[in-house]
Amino acid sequence: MNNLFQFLYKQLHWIVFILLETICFVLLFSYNNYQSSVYLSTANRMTARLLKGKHKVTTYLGLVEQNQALAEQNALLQQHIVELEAMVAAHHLDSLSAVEAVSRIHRAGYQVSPAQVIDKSINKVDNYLTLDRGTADGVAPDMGVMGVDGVVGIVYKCTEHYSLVMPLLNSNSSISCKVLGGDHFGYLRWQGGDPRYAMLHDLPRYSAVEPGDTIVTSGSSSFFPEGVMVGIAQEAYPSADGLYVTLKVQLSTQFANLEHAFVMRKMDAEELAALQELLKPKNKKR
Amino acid sequence: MERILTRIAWFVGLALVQVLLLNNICLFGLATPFIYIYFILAIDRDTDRNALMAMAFALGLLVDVFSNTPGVNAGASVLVAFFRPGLLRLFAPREEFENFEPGISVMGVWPFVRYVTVAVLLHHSALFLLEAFSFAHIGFLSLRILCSTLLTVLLVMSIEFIRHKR
Repeated sequence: MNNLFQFLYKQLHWIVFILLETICFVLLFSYNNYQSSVYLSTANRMTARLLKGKHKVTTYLGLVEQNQALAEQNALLQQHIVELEAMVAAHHLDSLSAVEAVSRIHRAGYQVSPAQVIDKSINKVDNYLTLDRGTADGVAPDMGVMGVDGVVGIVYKCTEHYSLVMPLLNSNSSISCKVLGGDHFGYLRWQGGDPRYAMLHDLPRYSAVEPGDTIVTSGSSSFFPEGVMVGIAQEAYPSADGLYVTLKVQLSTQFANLEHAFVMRKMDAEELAALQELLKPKNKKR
Repeated sequence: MERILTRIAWFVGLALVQVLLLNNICLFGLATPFIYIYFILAIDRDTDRNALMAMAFALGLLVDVFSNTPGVNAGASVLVAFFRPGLLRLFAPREEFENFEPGISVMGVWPFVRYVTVAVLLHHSALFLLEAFSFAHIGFLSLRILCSTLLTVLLVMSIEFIRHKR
């Protein structure tokens, strides 16, 4: 008997080994399906708490991708807005001719795609932005660029994967604007200095602008559709000859922390023709 | 006492690194390092075999709990702990040492590399086979085992060199 115990003691490591491996296999088989493995899995409260902490860190590391996804979603929504506005406009124009309705759509016929501002300056006389989209992504010179809050500028030059944007904050930039709800056009220029303000020139004096009025794009150029936010009127100065007023406009786009931009691609002739074809039967019905 | 605390620190530290960091690594879709095995490899030689197996089981199970693979890491770790005395006898046959912690300072670089490689290969083979539980994709499985072994050995050696320098 003593011998047997001694033998067993000598071979104890075998017994322990087989015992432990057996436990492992039992675990392996019995916890194979997810539901029963709650206690020995990530759903356990202790482990979940630790993993949650880890998740907090990793989500922070993944912010770039997250932002990218959100920007893309925003672009999609922006495009929906533009499209819906066009549709609403078309439905409101019952009394007007079909031709005019089509021209409204025409103006709203923009495709919006997101881009990241990867480089920018705001403190020079001629500032430029760099976007991470280029000709390969369908961006071309003379496309309008808007940010989340309003107009940013116009695409100036493109390489395959990047493009240079001439923002409002450039002495050569000139964008046709109007007061929301009014019909009188002026052009917006920046004269350097404070990147928060620009001047809207050549508004007729009788257009009765008041501080606090909203300034939007006029839609008379192909860069932007009508009604894209530009800024808020601050002060009006009469011009030397007294015929015009110059407005100091507080720009809605915060150029200092601009991260996301949307390039507005005007749909080309074929696309427009297709769109007009789509509209014709609807208007005939009326 | 200090020794026990150091051991506990290594145990917890390696488990955390494994769970939080390395479990998420899958280099080229092939290689996942399992660094926690370093605890089993570098513990002093005269540690009781049964105690070591128990520790290996606990460590493996801890990692398992966090990776939703109950039994897989534990089984592989116990296997390595069981074969460790034999491996040590094979690669560090010097009997003049009373007790030692396997490492490059005691064993020399190449014997230690060989010891680690064989142990890790054993561990990873068991681990990946238990995980897959089939020989269906044996080619891909072997590639995974080899790549992971390479990565783990590299990591173990880096830790060892850092400790040795100090």
